[in-house]
Amino acid sequence: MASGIPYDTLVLATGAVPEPIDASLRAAAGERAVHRLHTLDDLRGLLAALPESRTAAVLGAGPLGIGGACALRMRGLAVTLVEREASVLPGLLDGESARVVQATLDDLGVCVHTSSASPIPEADLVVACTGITPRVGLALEAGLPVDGGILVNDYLISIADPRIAAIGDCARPESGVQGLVEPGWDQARRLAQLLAGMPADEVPALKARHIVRLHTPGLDVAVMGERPRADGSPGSDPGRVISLLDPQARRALRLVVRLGRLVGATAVGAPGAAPDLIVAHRNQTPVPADPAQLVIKGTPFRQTFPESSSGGPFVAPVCRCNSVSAAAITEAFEAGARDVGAIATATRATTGCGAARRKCARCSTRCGPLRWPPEPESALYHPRYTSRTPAKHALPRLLPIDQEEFPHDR
Amino acid sequence: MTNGIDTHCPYCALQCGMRLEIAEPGSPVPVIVRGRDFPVNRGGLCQKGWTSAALLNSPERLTTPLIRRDGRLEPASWEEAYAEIVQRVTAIKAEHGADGLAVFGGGGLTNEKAYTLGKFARVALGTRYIDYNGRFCMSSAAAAGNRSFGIDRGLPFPVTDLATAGVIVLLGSNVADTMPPFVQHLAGARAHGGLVVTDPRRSATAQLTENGGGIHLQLLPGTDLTLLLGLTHLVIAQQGVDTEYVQARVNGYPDVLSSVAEWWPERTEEHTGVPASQLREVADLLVRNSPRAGGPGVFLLTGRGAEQHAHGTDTVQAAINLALLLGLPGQRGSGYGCLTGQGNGQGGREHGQKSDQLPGYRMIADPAARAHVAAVWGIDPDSLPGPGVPAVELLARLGTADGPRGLFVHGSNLVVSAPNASVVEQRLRSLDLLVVCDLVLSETARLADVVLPITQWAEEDGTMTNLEGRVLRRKRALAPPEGVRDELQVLTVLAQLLDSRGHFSADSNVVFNELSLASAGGKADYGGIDHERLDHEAIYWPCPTPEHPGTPRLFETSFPTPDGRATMWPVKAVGVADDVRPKAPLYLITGRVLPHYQSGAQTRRVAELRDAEDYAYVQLHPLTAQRLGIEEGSYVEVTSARGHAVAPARLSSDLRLDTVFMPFHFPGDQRANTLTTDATDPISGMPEYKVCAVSVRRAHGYPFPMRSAG
Repeated sequence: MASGIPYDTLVLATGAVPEPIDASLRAAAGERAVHRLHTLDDLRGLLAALPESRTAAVLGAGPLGIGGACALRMRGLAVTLVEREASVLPGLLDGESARVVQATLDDLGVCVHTSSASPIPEADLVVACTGITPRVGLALEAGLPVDGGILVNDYLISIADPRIAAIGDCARPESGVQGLVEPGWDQARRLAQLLAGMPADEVPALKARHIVRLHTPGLDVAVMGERPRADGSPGSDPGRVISLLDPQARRALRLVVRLGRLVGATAVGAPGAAPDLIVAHRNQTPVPADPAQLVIKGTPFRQTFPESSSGGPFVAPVCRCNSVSAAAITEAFEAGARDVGAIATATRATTGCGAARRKCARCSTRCGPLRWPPEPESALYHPRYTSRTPAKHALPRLLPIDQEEFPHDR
Repeated sequence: MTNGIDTHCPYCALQCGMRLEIAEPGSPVPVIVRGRDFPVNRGGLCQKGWTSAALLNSPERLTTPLIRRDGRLEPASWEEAYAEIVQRVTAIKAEHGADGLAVFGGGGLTNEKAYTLGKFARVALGTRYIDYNGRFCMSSAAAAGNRSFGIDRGLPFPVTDLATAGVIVLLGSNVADTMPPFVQHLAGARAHGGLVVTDPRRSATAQLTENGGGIHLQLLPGTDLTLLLGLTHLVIAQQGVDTEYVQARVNGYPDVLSSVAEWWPERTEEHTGVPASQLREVADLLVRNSPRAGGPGVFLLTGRGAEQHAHGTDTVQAAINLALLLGLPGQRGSGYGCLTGQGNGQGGREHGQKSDQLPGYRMIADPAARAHVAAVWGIDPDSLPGPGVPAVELLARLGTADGPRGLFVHGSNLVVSAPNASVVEQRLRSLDLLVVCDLVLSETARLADVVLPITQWAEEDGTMTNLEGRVLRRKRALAPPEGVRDELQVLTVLAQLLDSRGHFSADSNVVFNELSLASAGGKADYGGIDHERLDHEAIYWPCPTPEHPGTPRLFETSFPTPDGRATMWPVKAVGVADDVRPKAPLYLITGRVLPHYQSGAQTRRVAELRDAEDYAYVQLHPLTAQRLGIEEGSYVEVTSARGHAVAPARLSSDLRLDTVFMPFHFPGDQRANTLTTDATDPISGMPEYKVCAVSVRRAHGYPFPMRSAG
């Protein structure tokens, strides 16, 4: 270079490029173009090729490859997903979880070949999602230490030159991960604060926890933190591993809990549980005494807990706005109130938001207040809700409830 | 039917219509409360409203001034009380100047009292230090509204407009407990499956979304802003932007567009804990029901849950941005609004209680505003003080070396309601003079040097401005007890005794006419309103002339900004001020219960309400309780970096595993605000009431389990 730009600090944010296409792949692809999913132009090129394509081969079953394969499948192409390793999402998932993902892909109509050393299947389109390589040419020329990325310390400064920093996909910090967008932003924020002169001990540390999330219609995968270790592996406390394996329902959950915190989790096919796991992991909030509850909570089953709801419908307010219980209405009824107006005068039931009016009308004309059905439509009459801590011995229902009439009763 | 006096409820901003009938002699209460058909409540009242008369003749009512002598509050005559105040005010002023004094007002005061209080501070005391508890309620929404729309009126449309909407999004609002008769206005959206409630807790309002009523987004505390950015991202991605509206009426769209690019649904899910599928569902509801798509209409409404954060203004801004790009504000049957909390939270912030404002929403730093108001007050504009400081900062300065040494408190119970309340209590104790006007001996009045017993709603005349910006008449139904005085009278007498410039009046009609002059030409223009007009009809401001019909709906043709357009501002998501950590691994959120209002100074003294709920509690998930060895009813200690509170546990799967809830109406050991942080929003001064980090454990030395109070 003939001319240079003087600097106090040089920040390298050169990113990464897709793995180069090796000779065997090039040969196998023959005359077909090999598409990438790295830049916006890559996508435009792929979209332009779609009208003439009926079949596609996607190489590499990482998050990008799976997302790409599913997207092409949704556009009506016959898709084959090819992975050199023995399972999909290699390095991210254990074998059982990976098999559930593979079965789900199969359900979605994506044909998966693993352990594949064979040539690229016949297909109109070839898309290579075989990983990325950090762009470190400049760093290498400058003689900076590079090993899978420019080696930097936790201040994002090169371990060899204090005037050079690196962030994003080209950098390999002491702690943290590579290849995701949010860690890159986090590094950029931290470096900017340091360069702007904020004292180092006040600059928030790099966020240690990042989540790999795959969310394509019909396939939901969240992977975070530690993976379960193989049995008997040496080292520190492996933690408690809780698994829920349900291949028929295309579901696999695996939690790693240590010292009451969720230090790792894999959730396949559990979109209801995933957000709770992610938040519990990110914030390191304590998990329940039985950590399996974290997963069960995410399923659509209502649980029965001993909780404040145990008062039951008789002591729960019929009219929340005025804290009027069925018992109070019964009392008014027995004292001679026979219609909604009279009950309202005696108890103020129905005189707030009006939601209890229909219930009162139904009961006082048809059943009498002793037969007080739970009201499915209105949360204003919610069995969980009592306005005060109820007595442990809830009053029983006086008459059986017609379940047919109230199918949503819980 | 001329029997009875038509007025409005003493409590929240819904201001339900009431009729008061004088009770037979010997009745337990002096007036009978009847629901009155007024659009906001259609005859309904909640338990607080129905029982409001109980406080009129409560034995806990103060009927004589109290003066602290030798450390004890002792009865005194009004003359003694006035003399004590005047002597000590004069001494403080002589030693520390006018800024040695401060005033703390309230959002429950009538417009006339709020106006007179602001004037009393600036003219009679001459201090710049005045602010009020509305800073704790409306300030974030007010700041964002002014910034975007050029005006701050809670709802820029009548509440009854909600009836036809397909979607109503309640962002951090629990109306089923806080203003129950409001729930009837949600019926249309619920029938349409379009009620969306964002709340970390499955509150009574969130439960209204069940069984097809809509969607409850049970977000992580403090992530309201992130959630809104994620929804905005989705609405843009789903091509839901009303481009015609945005081009014609809104500035700033390109910046907002790029600012939300980073909040794709799965990332929003990671940060908020709300499943991406739910976010998509809600975005779809918004787009399909928006006026641009020919839908029945969409309303976005914010409450304290979204606003009471150290980034509350930005959160409201994000809601406004979303409303603007959906093309809602100014379209009939759609809009953005904020649900005002306190009875006169709207009027209370318009007439000079805010540290930087003069009546009519005029800015005190603006020379033209100063000249206008000074002319009405008959004083030299240069004699008006400059801007003061917002509530939290004002409270922090009390009794410090350069801070105010004397404080007047009206319509506020700071000891219970202020954030980080133990510190506020210390500040109040360090004052040379604390004067408290109240009906009862509230926790704050207990610390006072002089307590003045004052009238309450059924005993006074004046006006209130409800959550719709509608000015209402409050009417006197009966004479106050012997020894009790109206605050207008108190302030007038004190002004005279302090040889104040200007003219003060104890007649609410005279005060209103002056207020109307002072507000004329301002943003909140009451120029064409007087008591007599209000006797016939409640009027929406702005109403500049006697012939003007008032303005039920704002923004129909333009926004009150210099270029007539609304402005979007890009905002960034920020973490919570006091976030969870290993030693404090749970979030505390605070809120209200149905039977109580604010600090509970009034409602805790009504037997029927106390009967419904007489103690604070800590609501937590049964699994969280199980982990901590806590059973239903056992006393638990909740500890934050600021202190600890103790209350019995209530187990409920309505909570997230990582969150506990406490109602904030209770004093002493049960005081939730001992725990809350006083970190504030840099723009609005709003404290972050709605989230802080706590640890929870079984409390020792308390009875176990709590005796069931039934």
